Amino acid sequence: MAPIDLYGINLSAPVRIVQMTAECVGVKYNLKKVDLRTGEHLQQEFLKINPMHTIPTVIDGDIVMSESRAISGYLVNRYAMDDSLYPKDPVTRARVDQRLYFDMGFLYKAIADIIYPTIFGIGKPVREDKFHKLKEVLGWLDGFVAEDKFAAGTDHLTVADLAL
Amino acid sequence: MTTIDLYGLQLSAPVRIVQMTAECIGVNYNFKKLDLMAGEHMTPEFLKINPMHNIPTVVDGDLTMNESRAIAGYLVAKYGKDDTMYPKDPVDRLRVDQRLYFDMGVFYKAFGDIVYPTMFGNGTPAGEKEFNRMKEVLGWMDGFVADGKFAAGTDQMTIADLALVATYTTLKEAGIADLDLSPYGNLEPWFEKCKAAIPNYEKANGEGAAMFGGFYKSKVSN
Repeated sequence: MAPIDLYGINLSAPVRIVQMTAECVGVKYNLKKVDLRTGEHLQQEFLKINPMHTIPTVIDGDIVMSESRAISGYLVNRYAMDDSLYPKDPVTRARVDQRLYFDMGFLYKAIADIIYPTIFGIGKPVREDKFHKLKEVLGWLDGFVAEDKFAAGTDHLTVADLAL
Repeated sequence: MTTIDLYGLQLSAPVRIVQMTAECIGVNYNFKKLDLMAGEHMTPEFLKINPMHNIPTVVDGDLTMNESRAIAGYLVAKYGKDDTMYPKDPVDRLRVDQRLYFDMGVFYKAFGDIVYPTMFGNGTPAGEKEFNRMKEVLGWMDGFVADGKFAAGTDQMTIADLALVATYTTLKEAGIADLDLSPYGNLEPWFEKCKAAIPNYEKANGEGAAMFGGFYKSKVSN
Protein backbone atom coordinates (compact mmCIF):
# COMPACT_ATOMS: atom_id res chain seq x y z
CA MET A 1 0.00 0.00 0.00
CA ALA A 2 1.08 3.60 -0.51
CA PRO A 3 2.37 5.36 2.59
CA ILE A 4 -0.03 7.66 4.38
CA ASP A 5 0.76 11.35 4.76
CA LEU A 6 0.96 12.51 8.36
CA TYR A 7 0.91 16.26 8.87
CA GLY A 8 2.30 17.63 12.12
CA ILE A 9 5.41 17.78 14.26
CA ASN A 10 6.67 15.06 16.49
CA LEU A 11 6.78 17.16 19.60
CA SER A 12 2.98 16.80 19.60
CA ALA A 13 1.77 13.84 21.65
CA PRO A 14 -1.29 13.23 19.44
CA VAL A 15 0.97 13.13 16.35
CA ARG A 16 3.05 10.50 18.13
CA ILE A 17 -0.04 8.38 18.86
CA VAL A 18 -0.44 8.06 15.08
CA GLN A 19 3.28 7.44 14.52
CA MET A 20 3.40 4.66 17.10
CA THR A 21 0.23 3.06 15.79
CA ALA A 22 1.53 3.13 12.22
CA GLU A 23 4.80 1.53 13.36
CA CYS A 24 2.96 -1.21 15.29
CA VAL A 25 0.56 -1.96 12.43
CA GLY A 26 3.26 -1.76 9.74
CA VAL A 27 1.93 1.23 7.83
CA LYS A 28 4.54 3.55 6.32
CA TYR A 29 4.05 7.27 6.71
CA ASN A 30 5.51 10.48 5.25
CA LEU A 31 5.84 12.97 8.08
CA LYS A 32 5.00 16.39 6.62
CA LYS A 33 6.09 19.12 8.95
CA VAL A 34 3.37 21.52 10.08
CA ASP A 35 4.77 23.58 12.92
CA LEU A 36 2.15 25.23 15.12
CA ARG A 37 4.79 27.41 16.71
CA THR A 38 5.28 29.29 13.45
CA GLY A 39 1.60 29.24 12.46
CA GLU A 40 2.09 26.78 9.61
CA HIS A 41 -1.26 25.21 10.45
CA LEU A 42 -3.01 28.49 9.59
CA GLN A 43 -1.47 28.81 6.14
CA GLN A 44 -3.85 28.55 3.19
CA GLU A 45 -2.29 25.34 1.83
CA PHE A 46 -2.92 23.53 5.09
CA LEU A 47 -6.37 25.00 5.65
CA LYS A 48 -7.35 23.59 2.25
CA ILE A 49 -6.39 20.17 3.52
CA ASN A 50 -7.88 20.57 7.01
CA PRO A 51 -10.07 23.63 7.69
CA MET A 52 -9.92 22.78 11.41
CA HIS A 53 -6.16 23.37 11.28
CA THR A 54 -5.23 20.69 13.82
CA ILE A 55 -2.44 18.14 13.96
CA PRO A 56 -2.22 15.28 13.36
CA THR A 57 -3.97 15.36 10.02
CA VAL A 58 -3.64 12.19 7.96
CA ILE A 59 -4.31 11.58 4.29
CA ASP A 60 -4.82 7.99 3.17
CA GLY A 61 -5.69 7.91 -0.49
CA ASP A 62 -8.68 10.21 -0.80
CA ILE A 63 -9.54 10.12 2.90
CA VAL A 64 -8.51 13.12 4.97
CA MET A 65 -8.80 12.65 8.71
CA SER A 66 -8.09 14.33 12.04
CA GLU A 67 -8.34 13.31 15.72
CA SER A 68 -5.38 11.11 16.61
CA ARG A 69 -7.32 8.49 18.58
CA ALA A 70 -9.85 8.04 15.77
CA ILE A 71 -7.00 7.78 13.24
CA SER A 72 -5.25 5.22 15.43
CA GLY A 73 -8.36 3.03 15.58
CA TYR A 74 -8.82 3.38 11.81
CA LEU A 75 -5.27 2.21 11.07
CA VAL A 76 -5.77 -0.91 13.17
CA ASN A 77 -9.28 -1.61 11.87
CA ARG A 78 -8.21 -1.19 8.27
CA TYR A 79 -4.63 -2.47 8.06
CA ALA A 80 -3.67 -4.61 11.04
CA MET A 81 -3.22 -8.37 10.64
CA ASP A 82 -5.43 -8.98 13.67
CA ASP A 83 -7.36 -6.96 16.24
CA SER A 84 -4.97 -7.30 19.18
CA LEU A 85 -4.10 -3.59 19.21
CA TYR A 86 -7.79 -2.68 19.26
CA PRO A 87 -9.78 -5.77 20.23
CA LYS A 88 -13.25 -6.10 18.75
CA ASP A 89 -14.79 -7.92 21.72
CA PRO A 90 -17.33 -5.38 23.08
CA VAL A 91 -16.12 -5.43 26.68
CA THR A 92 -12.41 -5.19 25.84
CA ARG A 93 -13.10 -2.54 23.22
CA ALA A 94 -15.12 -0.60 25.83
CA ARG A 95 -12.13 -0.63 28.18
CA VAL A 96 -9.74 0.52 25.46
CA ASP A 97 -12.12 3.29 24.38
CA GLN A 98 -12.59 4.36 27.99
CA ARG A 99 -8.81 4.77 28.31
CA LEU A 100 -8.61 6.70 25.03
CA TYR A 101 -11.22 9.21 26.26
CA PHE A 102 -9.44 9.28 29.65
CA ASP A 103 -6.24 10.17 27.78
CA MET A 104 -7.90 13.09 26.02
CA GLY A 105 -10.20 14.36 28.74
CA PHE A 106 -8.22 13.67 31.89
CA LEU A 107 -4.53 12.90 31.44
CA TYR A 108 -3.60 15.18 28.57
CA LYS A 109 -5.95 17.88 29.81
CA ALA A 110 -4.46 17.86 33.33
CA ILE A 111 -0.95 18.16 31.90
CA ALA A 112 -1.91 20.86 29.41
CA ASP A 113 -3.68 22.91 32.08
CA ILE A 114 -0.32 23.19 33.84
CA ILE A 115 2.08 23.39 30.90
CA TYR A 116 0.21 25.40 28.26
CA PRO A 117 0.17 28.76 30.10
CA THR A 118 3.97 28.64 30.11
CA ILE A 119 4.34 27.35 26.53
CA PHE A 120 1.90 29.87 25.11
CA GLY A 121 3.17 32.70 27.27
CA ILE A 122 -0.13 33.43 28.92
CA GLY A 123 1.77 34.51 31.99
CA LYS A 124 -0.81 33.85 34.67
CA PRO A 125 0.29 31.57 37.51
CA VAL A 126 -1.24 28.13 37.33
CA ARG A 127 -3.93 27.61 39.99
CA GLU A 128 -3.04 25.17 42.73
CA ASP A 129 -6.11 23.01 42.07
CA LYS A 130 -4.61 22.11 38.69
CA PHE A 131 -1.67 20.47 40.45
CA HIS A 132 -4.03 18.57 42.77
CA LYS A 133 -5.96 17.37 39.73
CA LEU A 134 -2.84 16.12 37.94
CA LYS A 135 -1.79 14.17 41.02
CA GLU A 136 -5.24 12.64 41.27
CA VAL A 137 -5.17 11.68 37.57
CA LEU A 138 -1.66 10.22 37.84
CA GLY A 139 -2.87 8.15 40.78
CA TRP A 140 -5.63 6.67 38.60
CA LEU A 141 -3.23 6.00 35.72
CA ASP A 142 -0.81 4.34 38.14
CA GLY A 143 -3.64 2.07 39.25
CA PHE A 144 -4.56 1.16 35.66
CA VAL A 145 -1.07 -0.26 35.07
CA ALA A 146 -0.46 -1.82 38.47
CA GLU A 147 0.43 -5.49 38.69
CA ASP A 148 2.00 -5.39 35.25
CA LYS A 149 -1.27 -4.90 33.39
CA PHE A 150 -1.50 -3.01 30.17
CA ALA A 151 -3.57 0.13 30.55
CA ALA A 152 -6.93 -1.30 29.44
CA GLY A 153 -6.49 -4.40 31.58
CA THR A 154 -5.40 -6.48 28.59
CA ASP A 155 -2.46 -8.86 28.60
CA HIS A 156 -0.98 -7.17 25.52
CA LEU A 157 -0.38 -3.69 24.15
CA THR A 158 -3.33 -1.79 22.68
CA VAL A 159 -3.84 1.66 21.17
CA ALA A 160 -4.84 2.80 24.68
CA ASP A 161 -1.27 2.16 25.84
CA LEU A 162 0.11 4.06 22.85
CA ALA A 163 -2.06 7.10 23.61
CA LEU A 164 -1.25 7.06 27.31
CA MET B 1 -34.42 -6.98 27.78
CA THR B 2 -31.17 -5.79 29.29
CA THR B 3 -31.28 -3.27 32.13
CA ILE B 4 -28.19 -1.27 33.05
CA ASP B 5 -27.63 1.09 35.97
CA LEU B 6 -26.84 4.66 34.96
CA TYR B 7 -25.51 6.98 37.64
CA GLY B 8 -25.69 10.70 36.99
CA LEU B 9 -27.80 13.80 36.60
CA GLN B 10 -30.03 14.60 33.65
CA LEU B 11 -28.57 18.03 33.24
CA SER B 12 -25.23 16.50 32.27
CA ALA B 13 -24.81 16.28 28.48
CA PRO B 14 -22.58 13.19 28.68
CA VAL B 15 -25.20 11.41 30.82
CA ARG B 16 -27.75 12.20 28.11
CA ILE B 17 -25.51 10.68 25.42
CA VAL B 18 -25.90 7.39 27.28
CA GLN B 19 -29.66 7.86 27.79
CA MET B 20 -30.27 8.59 24.12
CA THR B 21 -28.11 5.66 22.99
CA ALA B 22 -29.96 3.27 25.31
CA GLU B 23 -33.32 4.53 24.03
CA CYS B 24 -32.27 4.16 20.40
CA ILE B 25 -31.06 0.60 20.69
CA GLY B 26 -33.65 -0.58 23.20
CA VAL B 27 -31.70 -1.03 26.44
CA ASN B 28 -33.51 -0.30 29.71
CA TYR B 29 -31.75 1.74 32.35
CA ASN B 30 -32.25 2.46 36.03
CA PHE B 31 -31.44 6.12 36.43
CA LYS B 32 -29.64 6.52 39.73
CA LYS B 33 -29.55 10.19 40.53
CA LEU B 34 -26.31 11.45 42.07
CA ASP B 35 -26.56 14.90 43.58
CA LEU B 36 -23.13 16.27 42.76
CA MET B 37 -23.84 19.52 44.56
CA ALA B 38 -24.40 17.52 47.75
CA GLY B 39 -21.23 15.51 47.09
CA GLU B 40 -23.01 12.21 46.48
CA HIS B 41 -20.31 11.29 43.97
CA MET B 42 -17.67 11.48 46.70
CA THR B 43 -19.27 9.08 49.19
CA PRO B 44 -17.32 5.89 50.03
CA GLU B 45 -20.15 3.84 48.48
CA PHE B 46 -19.91 5.58 45.12
CA LEU B 47 -16.11 5.72 45.14
CA LYS B 48 -16.18 1.92 45.47
CA ILE B 49 -18.23 1.83 42.27
CA ASN B 50 -16.21 4.49 40.45
CA PRO B 51 -13.00 5.80 42.07
CA MET B 52 -12.94 8.50 39.39
CA HIS B 53 -16.21 9.87 40.86
CA ASN B 54 -17.56 11.20 37.58
CA ILE B 55 -20.78 10.86 35.60
CA PRO B 56 -22.07 9.08 33.70
CA THR B 57 -21.07 5.84 35.36
CA VAL B 58 -22.71 2.71 33.99
CA VAL B 59 -22.90 -0.72 35.59
CA ASP B 60 -23.79 -3.63 33.30
CA GLY B 61 -23.38 -6.86 35.21
CA ASP B 62 -19.66 -7.20 35.95
CA LEU B 63 -18.71 -4.24 33.81
CA THR B 64 -18.48 -0.81 35.41
CA MET B 65 -17.36 2.03 33.25
CA ASN B 66 -17.26 5.78 32.73
CA GLU B 67 -16.69 7.94 29.61
CA SER B 68 -20.03 8.49 27.91
CA ARG B 69 -18.81 8.08 24.33
CA ALA B 70 -17.08 4.79 25.13
CA ILE B 71 -20.25 3.61 26.88
CA ALA B 72 -22.34 4.57 23.84
CA GLY B 73 -20.07 2.54 21.55
CA TYR B 74 -20.18 -0.41 23.93
CA LEU B 75 -23.99 -0.41 24.10
CA VAL B 76 -24.29 -0.49 20.31
CA ALA B 77 -21.63 -3.21 19.98
CA LYS B 78 -23.13 -5.41 22.68
CA TYR B 79 -26.87 -4.84 22.30
CA GLY B 80 -27.52 -3.18 18.94
CA LYS B 81 -29.55 -5.19 16.42
CA ASP B 82 -27.06 -4.06 13.81
CA ASP B 83 -24.20 -1.60 13.49
CA THR B 84 -26.02 1.35 11.90
CA MET B 85 -25.55 3.54 14.96
CA TYR B 86 -21.83 2.77 15.10
CA PRO B 87 -20.81 1.34 11.72
CA LYS B 88 -18.04 -1.22 11.65
CA ASP B 89 -16.74 -0.24 8.19
CA PRO B 90 -13.31 1.29 8.94
CA VAL B 91 -13.92 4.53 7.07
CA ASP B 92 -17.42 5.12 8.48
CA ARG B 93 -16.15 4.17 11.93
CA LEU B 94 -13.32 6.68 11.56
CA ARG B 95 -15.76 9.46 10.72
CA VAL B 96 -18.02 8.66 13.68
CA ASP B 97 -15.03 8.44 16.04
CA GLN B 98 -13.66 11.69 14.69
CA ARG B 99 -16.95 13.42 15.50
CA LEU B 100 -17.06 11.85 18.97
CA TYR B 101 -13.59 13.22 19.78
CA PHE B 102 -14.58 16.54 18.20
CA ASP B 103 -17.61 16.63 20.52
CA MET B 104 -15.42 16.10 23.61
CA GLY B 105 -12.32 18.04 22.72
CA VAL B 106 -13.65 20.87 20.54
CA PHE B 107 -17.43 21.42 20.68
CA TYR B 108 -18.22 20.72 24.32
CA LYS B 109 -14.87 22.20 25.35
CA ALA B 110 -15.60 25.51 23.61
CA PHE B 111 -19.03 25.59 25.25
CA GLY B 112 -17.63 24.74 28.69
CA ASP B 113 -14.96 27.42 28.40
CA ILE B 114 -17.76 29.97 28.10
CA VAL B 115 -20.26 28.72 30.67
CA TYR B 116 -18.24 27.01 33.37
CA PRO B 117 -16.58 30.14 34.81
CA THR B 118 -20.05 31.59 35.35
CA MET B 119 -21.60 28.38 36.63
CA PHE B 120 -18.87 27.42 39.05
CA GLY B 121 -17.39 30.82 39.78
CA ASN B 122 -13.86 29.64 39.10
CA GLY B 123 -11.37 30.90 36.59
CA THR B 124 -11.48 33.98 34.44
CA PRO B 125 -14.84 34.84 32.86
CA ALA B 126 -15.04 34.04 29.15
CA GLY B 127 -13.97 36.85 26.84
CA GLU B 128 -13.55 37.61 23.16
CA LYS B 129 -11.16 34.69 22.63
CA GLU B 130 -13.66 32.13 23.92
CA PHE B 131 -16.57 33.62 21.95
CA ASN B 132 -14.56 33.76 18.72
CA ARG B 133 -13.57 30.16 19.25
CA MET B 134 -17.20 29.11 19.83
CA LYS B 135 -18.20 30.80 16.57
CA GLU B 136 -15.40 29.08 14.68
CA VAL B 137 -16.47 25.71 16.11
CA LEU B 138 -20.15 26.34 15.32
CA GLY B 139 -19.14 27.10 11.74
CA TRP B 140 -17.47 23.69 11.46
CA MET B 141 -20.42 21.97 13.12
CA ASP B 142 -22.81 23.72 10.72
CA GLY B 143 -20.73 22.41 7.80
CA PHE B 144 -20.79 18.83 9.08
CA VAL B 145 -24.60 18.75 8.87
CA ALA B 146 -25.10 20.78 5.70
CA ASP B 147 -27.06 19.32 2.78
CA GLY B 148 -29.21 17.17 5.06
CA LYS B 149 -26.30 14.98 6.19
CA PHE B 150 -25.94 13.34 9.53
CA ALA B 151 -22.89 14.57 11.42
CA ALA B 152 -20.46 11.82 10.38
CA GLY B 153 -21.57 12.00 6.74
CA THR B 154 -23.65 8.83 7.12
CA ASP B 155 -27.13 8.21 5.70
CA GLN B 156 -28.45 7.20 9.10
CA MET B 157 -28.13 8.60 12.57
CA THR B 158 -25.15 7.41 14.59
CA ILE B 159 -23.90 7.89 18.13
CA ALA B 160 -21.89 10.83 16.78
CA ASP B 161 -25.20 12.62 16.18
CA LEU B 162 -26.40 11.75 19.68
CA ALA B 163 -23.27 13.17 21.29
CA LEU B 164 -23.40 16.35 19.22
CA VAL B 165 -27.16 16.72 19.87
CA ALA B 166 -26.48 16.52 23.61
CA THR B 167 -23.95 19.34 23.34
CA TYR B 168 -25.95 21.43 20.86
CA THR B 169 -29.19 21.32 22.86
CA THR B 170 -27.35 22.18 26.06
CA LEU B 171 -25.77 25.15 24.31
CA LYS B 172 -29.15 26.25 22.97
CA GLU B 173 -30.90 25.97 26.32
CA ALA B 174 -28.16 27.94 28.05
CA GLY B 175 -29.19 30.89 25.89
CA ILE B 176 -25.79 32.55 26.12
CA ALA B 177 -26.03 36.30 25.64
CA ASP B 178 -23.90 37.58 22.74
CA LEU B 179 -23.98 34.18 21.04
CA ASP B 180 -26.39 34.26 18.12
CA LEU B 181 -27.03 30.78 16.70
CA SER B 182 -29.03 31.94 13.67
CA PRO B 183 -26.05 32.17 11.30
CA TYR B 184 -25.65 28.40 11.66
CA GLY B 185 -28.78 27.51 9.76
CA ASN B 186 -28.10 23.80 9.24
CA LEU B 187 -28.12 22.95 12.93
CA GLU B 188 -31.84 23.14 13.65
CA PRO B 189 -32.99 21.00 10.69
CA TRP B 190 -30.36 18.40 11.61
CA PHE B 191 -31.43 18.50 15.25
CA GLU B 192 -35.13 18.13 14.39
CA LYS B 193 -34.33 15.10 12.22
CA CYS B 194 -32.41 13.48 15.07
CA LYS B 195 -35.03 14.36 17.68
CA ALA B 196 -37.70 12.62 15.62
CA ALA B 197 -35.59 9.46 15.53
CA ILE B 198 -34.82 9.28 19.27
CA PRO B 199 -37.45 7.38 21.31
CA ASN B 200 -38.52 9.09 24.57
CA TYR B 201 -36.54 12.14 23.48
CA GLU B 202 -37.84 14.42 26.23
CA LYS B 203 -36.85 12.02 29.00
CA ALA B 204 -33.58 11.09 27.32
CA ASN B 205 -32.41 14.61 26.50
CA GLY B 206 -34.99 17.39 26.30
CA GLU B 207 -35.70 17.69 30.02
CA GLY B 208 -32.04 17.50 30.99
CA ALA B 209 -30.92 20.13 28.49
CA ALA B 210 -33.63 22.45 29.85
CA MET B 211 -32.41 21.75 33.42
CA PHE B 212 -28.88 22.72 32.44
CA GLY B 213 -30.19 25.88 30.81
CA GLY B 214 -32.17 26.77 33.92
CA PHE B 215 -29.18 26.21 36.17
CA TYR B 216 -26.90 28.30 33.97
CA LYS B 217 -29.39 31.17 33.71
CA SER B 218 -29.82 31.19 37.47
CA LYS B 219 -26.06 31.65 37.85
CA VAL B 220 -25.94 34.40 35.24
CA SER B 221 -28.59 36.47 36.99
CA ASN B 222 -26.81 36.22 40.36
